[in-house]
This record gives sequence, C-alpha cells and structure tokens, in this order.
Amino acid sequence: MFERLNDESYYRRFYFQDSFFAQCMDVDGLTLEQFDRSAENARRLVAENPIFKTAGHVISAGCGDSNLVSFALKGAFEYYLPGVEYEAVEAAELARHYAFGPDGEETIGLFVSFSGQVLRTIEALRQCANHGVTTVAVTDGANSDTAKEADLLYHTNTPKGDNNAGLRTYYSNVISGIILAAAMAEVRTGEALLPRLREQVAALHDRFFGEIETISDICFRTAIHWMDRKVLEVVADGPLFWAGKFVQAKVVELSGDPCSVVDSETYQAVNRHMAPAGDVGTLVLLNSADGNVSQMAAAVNAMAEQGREVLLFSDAAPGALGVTGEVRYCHMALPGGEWAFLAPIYAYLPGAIFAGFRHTTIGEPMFRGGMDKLIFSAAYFSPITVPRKDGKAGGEIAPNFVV
Amino acid sequence: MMRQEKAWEGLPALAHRLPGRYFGSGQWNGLENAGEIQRVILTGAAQAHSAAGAILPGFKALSGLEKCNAPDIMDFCHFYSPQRVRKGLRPEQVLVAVLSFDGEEDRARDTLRRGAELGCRTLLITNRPDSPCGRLAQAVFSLDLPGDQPGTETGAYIAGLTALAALAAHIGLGRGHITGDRAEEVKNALEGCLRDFMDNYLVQTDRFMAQQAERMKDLTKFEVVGDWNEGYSAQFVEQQLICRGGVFCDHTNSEEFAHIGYFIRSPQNWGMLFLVNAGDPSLSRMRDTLWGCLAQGRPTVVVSDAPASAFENDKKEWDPLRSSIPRPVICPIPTPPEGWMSPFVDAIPGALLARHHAALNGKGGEDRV
Repeated sequence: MFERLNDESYYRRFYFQDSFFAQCMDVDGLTLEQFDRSAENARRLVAENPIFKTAGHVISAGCGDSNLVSFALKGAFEYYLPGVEYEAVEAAELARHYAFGPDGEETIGLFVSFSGQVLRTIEALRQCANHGVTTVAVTDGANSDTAKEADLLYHTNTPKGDNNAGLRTYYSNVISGIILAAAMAEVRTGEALLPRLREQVAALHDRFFGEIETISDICFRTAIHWMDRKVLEVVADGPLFWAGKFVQAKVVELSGDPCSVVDSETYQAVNRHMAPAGDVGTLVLLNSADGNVSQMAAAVNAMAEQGREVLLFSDAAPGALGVTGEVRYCHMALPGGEWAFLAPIYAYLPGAIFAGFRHTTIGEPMFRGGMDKLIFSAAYFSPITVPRKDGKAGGEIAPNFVV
Repeated sequence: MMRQEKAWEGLPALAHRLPGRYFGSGQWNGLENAGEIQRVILTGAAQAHSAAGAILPGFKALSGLEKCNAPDIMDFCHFYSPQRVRKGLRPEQVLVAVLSFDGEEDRARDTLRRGAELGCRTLLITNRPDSPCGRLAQAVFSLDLPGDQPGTETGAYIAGLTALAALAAHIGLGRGHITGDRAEEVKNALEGCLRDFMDNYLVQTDRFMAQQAERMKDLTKFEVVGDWNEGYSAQFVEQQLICRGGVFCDHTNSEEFAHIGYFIRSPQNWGMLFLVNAGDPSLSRMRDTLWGCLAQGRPTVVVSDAPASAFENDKKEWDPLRSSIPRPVICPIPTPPEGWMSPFVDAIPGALLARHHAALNGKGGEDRV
C-alpha cells in the first residue's frame, strides 16, 4: 500500500485511472452499439428456429460473471415471457446435480460464456443436450467449443476492446439476454417490442452516463478515504443482490480484498456481527422504487450506528429513503415501474468503478499480477465428466491450456 | 474446557429423538388436505434460510413436488411477483412454509402476511407457537425444543431440517407419492444417521475442531466451500463463524471459488472449510478445487465421509506442481443413508470450529443466531 498523504484532497483521480476504469467508461459507447448487434442476431435466431416460439422452459447457466448474468436476466424473462418457466442455474450445479424433468423437448438451455471456452459451461451444455434440451451458446466466440457443441449460436458479436476482468463482457451478455427475451416475446405476440426496449435503454443510458463524472469522483474519494479498510461488504436485495455479486467479483479480482454480499435481512441478523465495524467499508445498492426501502434504510442506519462507513448507491437521496445515519451518497439512475428489469444493465457499474479505484489506491495489481495456471487452474483445467450426446470423447481439458 | 464441552453437550440428547417426534406427528393434521398442495415455498431468516435451502433436494424427493423453492426471505417478501409465487397454480395449491425458531422476526411475519394476501396456504414451524408469527399462520408446527440448552442454535438447525423433512413426508404421503413404509424408512434412517454421529463421531469431532481452532486461532478471515445442498450447510457454518467470533466469512461453491475466490489477497491467511459428500457427483470437481486451494497455502479442513485416500493427489501428469501440494486435513463424518441427508450432520463440525475459534479469542459466549 502507498504511504498516505496527509490530506485526502491532495490525491488526483487522473493518476488512479487505469485500463479497468477505461473499460467502465467504454460501456457508454458500447451500450447501443451492442444493443443493435445483439438485436440483429437475436431476431434472426428466433425467426429461424421455432423452438423459441414454443418453449415453455428456459434454463440459463454460466460460470463466474456469466453465472451472474443468468440471475440478472430473471426480471426480463418474467416481464416478456410470463408464461415461461425461467431458471438461472450455476453451470456446475446444472452439470452435476440438476434434476431434469420430462420437458426436455420443450426446454431451451442458454449457455453464457463470452469466450465460449469455460469447461463447466460446456459440461452443463452436454448434460442438457443429453436430456433433450435445445442448447444455445450465448457467446462472442463464434468458433469456440461452446458454439461448436451447441445446437444454436446466439453470437453477441461484441465490438473489440479491452475485456480484462470482464466488465464490458458482462454488459454485453446482460443486454444480449434481455434482448433475447424481448425477441422471443416478439415472435410469440407479433408485437414489435425491441424498438420500445431500445428507447428505454437509450433513455436510461442518457440519465446514467449524464452523471458518470460525479459517480467516478465519489467512488474515487471513497476509495481514498477507505484505503485503510480491511474488509468490504455489499448489501443489496432482490435483483440488485446480483449486481452486488458482480461488484464482489470485481473487488476480489482487482484488489483481492475480502468482500461479502448479503441481503439486508441477513445483514441485520448475521453480518452486523463482523468486527471491528470500523474495519468494514460497506457498499449499499438500493432502488427507491423497490419494496424493500424501509428495511434497507433500517439496515443502513444500524451500520452507521455501529460505526461502519457506508457508500450508498441509489436513485434517491438518503433522507428520502429514511436513512438518518451519516453515509456517503452516490446518485445513480435506476429504472422503475414496468422497466425495473433494466436495473441490471448499469446497477453494478458504480460499484465496479469503486473496485477499480480500490485496486489502484492501495497499489494492488489486478489478479495479483497474474493467474498462475500451474498452481490453480480448476476453472480451465478440471476435466469434463459428462460425455457428449454422440458418445464421442474430447474436450476433457481446455484445448488452449498448455502445461 | 468447560466452555468447549458446552459447545455440544445439548446435542446428543436432542438430535436422534427428533425424527420420531416430527415424522407422522398429529401436529401436521393442522395442514388440511396436504395432498392438494402442488408447490411449496420454504423460507426463513438467517439459519432458517440455510435449513430451507439445505433440505430442498430432500424435500422435493419426499414430497414429489418439483415446484419448490427456498428464496431468501427479502426476495420472497419484496421481489417475488404473484405469478412467480403461483407458477400457474391456484393460490390454495401453494404452501408458504416459514421456519422461525422464536416466531418473532418481522420478516417472518411479512412472509406469512404476503402468503395470505396472495391466497396461499401458510405454515409456521417454530419453537413458540404462541408467538406473533404463530398467531398469523394458518397452521403451526411446534418444534417443542427446550429453549435453554447450550448448543441450541445447532440443535434448532437440525430440528428445522428434521421438521421440514417430516413436512415433505406428510405432503408426499397425502399425494400418494410415498408410502407409509417409505416414510417410516426415512424416519428410521434419519434417526440412525443422527444417533451414529452423536454416539460415534461427536466427541472426536469436537476434539479435532478444538485442535483446528488452535491452528487457525489468529485467522480473521474464513471461507466455506460446499456444492448443492452442502452449499447451505456452508452458509450455516458461515453464519456461525460470523456470529460467534465476529470474523469475516463467506461461502461459495467449488466452481465459483475457482473463478473468483481464488484471486483473494494473502490466501495463506484464510481459514478454509470444505464440505464434501463422497457420493456427490461433484466430488471430482471439489477435489480439483481443494488441491488448488492447498497449493495456495491456505489452512484447510475438509469435512467429509470420503476416505482420506479420496483426496490423494492423482493428477500429477497434468499438473506437476501438485506433487508438492500438502495433504488436506480431514474431519471424518458418517456417510448419510441417502445423499440428501448429508446436511443433517455435515454442518456440525463447522459450527464446533466456530465455537472453539470464538472461545479461544475470548468471544462467542452468547447465542446470536
């Protein structure tokens, strides 16, 4: 860790902005370009394959950040396809534990992986294929193993850019999943739903990125103020919980800090006992349109009372939410009403910006300076145990892995 | 030493009696026409949510109901839409079952109210049938536990698991999914499993965990790894470690650990607990994650019914460094009669570790969860 300057105002944000910060900013320009690329491919995919019109069950799976994508899509599928059973299942659990029902022929499996080379996702795909599920690779890797093994390819066709620590890729996968839900609803209802969705995304984009300078500055100032914190925690409920999980992943990958994610009830019952409270910096995500406001406000007030410092990300000021304790506040635009399912496209971004500044302000290299595959490579190395549908062997170890 | 003994002394007398009390209990008759139930939502706060999640595979197997979920209680109260609650069923075919030991939690009350507002049937499983939640629920099942015994939080957890299994059997019987003989078989198996652990493993597990707590005394960060229903046992152990000793703790599964937890700073300062079921389809995945964890120098304990040989390094050909990886420390537990029963005992060693670790650091005298 750097030696601290005497006055926090001496620190200049510019010197702490690295490639990850640039990647966060790149979501600005990426937003609608990715929307249009995904919409084009999604429309073609659902038009050409009748299963998208008839399926009554969708299972979505992935690993790491892509696992979180599946959970972030729940709201969109519920909104556009209320009669369809949508399940987000971790790839490893889908491959090894999931109890398949008799409805395989009516089920679509979405396998989310930006690279398309994650073994457990391929394993889950094979398991689904063995149960008659129509498998769809949701990937930028059009020639990847996931794409090759899947029945269908939903190519996200993401514009080239720096994807280290997977920030742009997360946006790309989340918006692509939302677009697929809307496209499926289009072929079922005959209504043109994607244009209206695009309008809403554009409007949210303008509101969110209109404040990006302020958001970045608050996150930077908090990171400076919290340089001595030993533990970070994210508290969020419902759909924002999954945004919190993404923030946790970025904290761990970038600065390597201990970071947990809990809902407000678990905070009150369990995690408030973490001690000393002054060692913990807490990020809170709250949408003023959600029904949990009073409970989250009570949790935040309890944090402040305990001496925990809080950075509150919300679309409403602390006073309007019932937060009376002293907190740092960062306004972020969030959708409400029928468009609440769009919250996952940006709600993680302020926390990710904070995570980026956390790693630069404490001088910790992202991924601890590199990933030593020889020491630990289970994500890319642990063999696939599920046979292919055609009985052929192969793919047991990632093909690009060299010992 | 007295403090350490109190970590478990209430358990042996309690645990094996529970299946006999709860399976086939007349109390379930308060849940009329159980055979008409088509979907159950199990929830509760903190350790109650851990119990709900841990029993879910067993609940589905015994009741024959695939449409069962164990959402966290905030999710159910505020983010589950009516369509997500009903899943195309009539409201009266949906049972909202809430586990709340003292029946006092606001969120448990909210859950019962919301279930009723949506027209669902509601059930409370509690140790205080006369509590505020007890007055709200349509049906109440009393755990009937002595409230003042040391170790009641783990005892309450096991009681919650047992009661939920008994509920599943009651529904399964009502639906004709299982026979009376099968319900009896499950009851006896659970009784035997709990008695075996309490009679033959508990004392040595307690000593073993006291030693591990000494080894990990100065650690303030822990992570618990478990797959599928073991994931909820891991969540329970996490809750125990935080509430007893105020340490940082998180839980994860073998795959997510490999994608995220692996990158933590100073891994050698993290205490790791792996919960591994030998019969689990993810055993091979768990072993790979475990070896990676050991290669990072993390102080690690494996709670498992698998023999130590199952964790021997046999992958040297594709990872030469594994020849130098230290062997894991194994805490043996009995093999559950059926796979879904593993959470009935595999959370106990971690809870004991939490108690010993807290006691060694001068904390943990009170029951918080």
